[in-house]
Amino acid sequence: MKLSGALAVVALLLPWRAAATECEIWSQSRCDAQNQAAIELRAGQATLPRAWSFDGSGRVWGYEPGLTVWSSPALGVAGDRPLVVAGNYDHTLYCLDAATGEPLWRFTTGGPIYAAPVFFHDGARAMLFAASNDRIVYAIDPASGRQIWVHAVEDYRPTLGGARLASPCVGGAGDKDDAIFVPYWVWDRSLANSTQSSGVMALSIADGRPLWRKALGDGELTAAIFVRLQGRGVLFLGSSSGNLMALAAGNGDVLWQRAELDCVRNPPAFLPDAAGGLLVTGSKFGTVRGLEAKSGVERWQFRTGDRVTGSPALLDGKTPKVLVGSYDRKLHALSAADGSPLWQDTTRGGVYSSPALIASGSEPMVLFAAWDHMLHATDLARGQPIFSAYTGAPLWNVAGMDDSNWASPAAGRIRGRWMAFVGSYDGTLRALPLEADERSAPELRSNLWFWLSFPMFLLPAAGLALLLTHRERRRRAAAASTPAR
Amino acid sequence: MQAERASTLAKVFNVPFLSLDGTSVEMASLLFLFLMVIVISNANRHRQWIRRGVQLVSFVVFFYVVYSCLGVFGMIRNGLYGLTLVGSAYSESFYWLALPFVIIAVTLLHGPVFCGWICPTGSLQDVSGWIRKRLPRRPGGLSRVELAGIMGASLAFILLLVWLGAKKKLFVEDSSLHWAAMLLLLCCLVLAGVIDDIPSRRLRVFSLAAIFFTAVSHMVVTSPVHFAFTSRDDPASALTTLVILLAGTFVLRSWCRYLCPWGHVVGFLHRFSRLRILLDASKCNRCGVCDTSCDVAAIEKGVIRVQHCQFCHSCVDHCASSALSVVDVWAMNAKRESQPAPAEAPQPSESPSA
Repeated sequence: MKLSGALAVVALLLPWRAAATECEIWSQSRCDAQNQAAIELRAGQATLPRAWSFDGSGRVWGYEPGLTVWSSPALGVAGDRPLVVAGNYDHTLYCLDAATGEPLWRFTTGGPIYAAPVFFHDGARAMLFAASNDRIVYAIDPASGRQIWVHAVEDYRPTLGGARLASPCVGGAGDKDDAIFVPYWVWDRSLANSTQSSGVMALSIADGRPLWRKALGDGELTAAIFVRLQGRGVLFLGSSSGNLMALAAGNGDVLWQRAELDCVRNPPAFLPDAAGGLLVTGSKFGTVRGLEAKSGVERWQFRTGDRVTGSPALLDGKTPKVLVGSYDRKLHALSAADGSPLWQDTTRGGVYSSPALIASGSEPMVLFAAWDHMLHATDLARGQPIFSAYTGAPLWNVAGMDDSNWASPAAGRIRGRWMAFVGSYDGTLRALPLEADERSAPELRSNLWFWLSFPMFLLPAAGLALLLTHRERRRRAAAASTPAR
Repeated sequence: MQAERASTLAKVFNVPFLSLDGTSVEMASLLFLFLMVIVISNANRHRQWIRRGVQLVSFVVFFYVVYSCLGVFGMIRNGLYGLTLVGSAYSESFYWLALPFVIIAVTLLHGPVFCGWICPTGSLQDVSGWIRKRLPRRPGGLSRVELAGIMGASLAFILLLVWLGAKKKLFVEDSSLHWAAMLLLLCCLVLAGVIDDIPSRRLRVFSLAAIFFTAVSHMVVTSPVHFAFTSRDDPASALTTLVILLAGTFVLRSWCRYLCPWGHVVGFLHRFSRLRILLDASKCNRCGVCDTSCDVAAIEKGVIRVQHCQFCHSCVDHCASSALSVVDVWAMNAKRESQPAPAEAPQPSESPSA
């Protein structure tokens, strides 16, 4: 009886154990439901990784809110080679060798690709799913770049004003991963039907056949994370209209919804625990919340100094941690138990990206990108800065672009060496070695404009003051010399 | 379930504020602050002491309660940002527009009380002004203390900038330091007699245009005192605040006089505001106390420069003959329009530009 009871407890805990393992396939926007964005790439043909960069800026398009140059990258293995795949605003999905940066294939779609692609591998076949803003979800063979199937989440009509598809995630209603889930937002600009609508669509992995479709209002949706709670597939996602939702992966039913959050720009993170799992989300008003994954009831909240646009990342362990970047120029490490602050790492710019966590290896670290145009690496245990690397200034002369989900870094270990991959807003996709002996000296950012703008501001202002004084003195002199009537 | 239990009436009031995520507390604090000023400024006894108390309360509210940027640059930038959100994100648009709109509305209805009673930058300058008034002064020129002070401050500021710049600690987004350098330069030129105080005040338009330009081109320039509103580390903002404090010991409220962009907006609106300080020339004994009591030199020989008045009521409180008073100009004009013009009505003394 006792044995069967213990076995039952173990069986109940199995789903949590399964979710707590390291990310093995990049099947969600940030690799796994904990948003760790770090993966071991076991590829027989991988060469020793080195630093490389790939310019994908092409023609520079005018900036508009929501635009990004690169999507966040996805890492995977196909054809026994380590791959990095990222979408670009030039409507193309690029696949490069993650170790050398050698371009392997490119796949052109009908719209810009702002959503991170995801991988799927079931032992027999490998697939790559990319969601483009041409409203189409593409299933691609990652080894060759050939299209397997496509499905349009919204049929074409001439009045469509735009669409935005978030990153798909792989999952299934039961134990088997047999579906992908794609949040979408479309805008119909016809005079009679000027509406924005959003929802989630589930497609069969095998052939792209629609399984179900759930309308979820009119706010733009974040990517979804997929979690198995007690053997049942659940999707968690947020929306720009301030809702955080849990959907049943089997039929799209809303399990719970919280409506009092502010604009949520990136997917929440999930950490399994004995109480049913913790869901952590950040909002544009800077509040980080820990919620019961089962019910959406708030466990704790922490207020950062400014808006949070990236996803939190969660780290299991002796002291489970929440790592989240904020526009208050800090990366915050919080206790997952009660949201209390553990440490902070301060940068010179607002942290816009979701962090990537490298928990294993000799030097556990967290990677994040900030508006000081740097990729920062910080010690995961104490929050001490390890190094920073300049990743380039934006292609546009605008600096407060928090309306876009700029690409977040990802980390991959190739032949035992960790590499960071980041698609910068300067148009370049970079790979940077993270091992202590391979790090190149950080490129320093120029502050020439700070010095040049000094005379540009001071000289006209001082000249104007002199001119105004001169005019006033002349006017007074003229008034004094005019004889009173 | 919670929403189902709530009554329809509660829902109507609650829902628009839900997405403000608790920031309605800040909004309520600010509205309360304005309300407090409007009520208290009508007190005739110990008004200047009460004003100091209100400034202290506003400090607490700004530094510990308020989350959004209330710096003089930030309010312009946020207001413009809020305007761009109208039609797409109403709650957020309301959030960013609320404070500038409240200040504009209160200025039109009750005069520029924000500048004189609430603005934290102004309050900080009052502290340095208090020191300034206790420093030895030589009539008609710079005292040695003043000269040494301003030269030393300018030199220290330049050296610090060069050192921080050379160490690559300052970048173009730290351009609030440009305003600090400009303020020091203007104070030097005014004290040296190269430029005059009153005409140089038009530089506030230049400052406003510069902030407008940086806002529409999305260049980040944080306000002085901004470092204290959020938990951001902003050394440029802190250094600019220090310079403003320092400059206030050379020229009283020098930031408000020469460079405050929001001050220009409020000053412009004060021309149309309901309440205004007016002089009854028949009661004035030309003692000149009002001239010396005004920190921004908005009154000279009984002529009030409306666009520079900060509605601190100092002149009203110091006038022994009660020649200065706060007048409801709208009511006065309405009364004047409704009645046939008398042959010789006494006209309040005012600057032609007002």
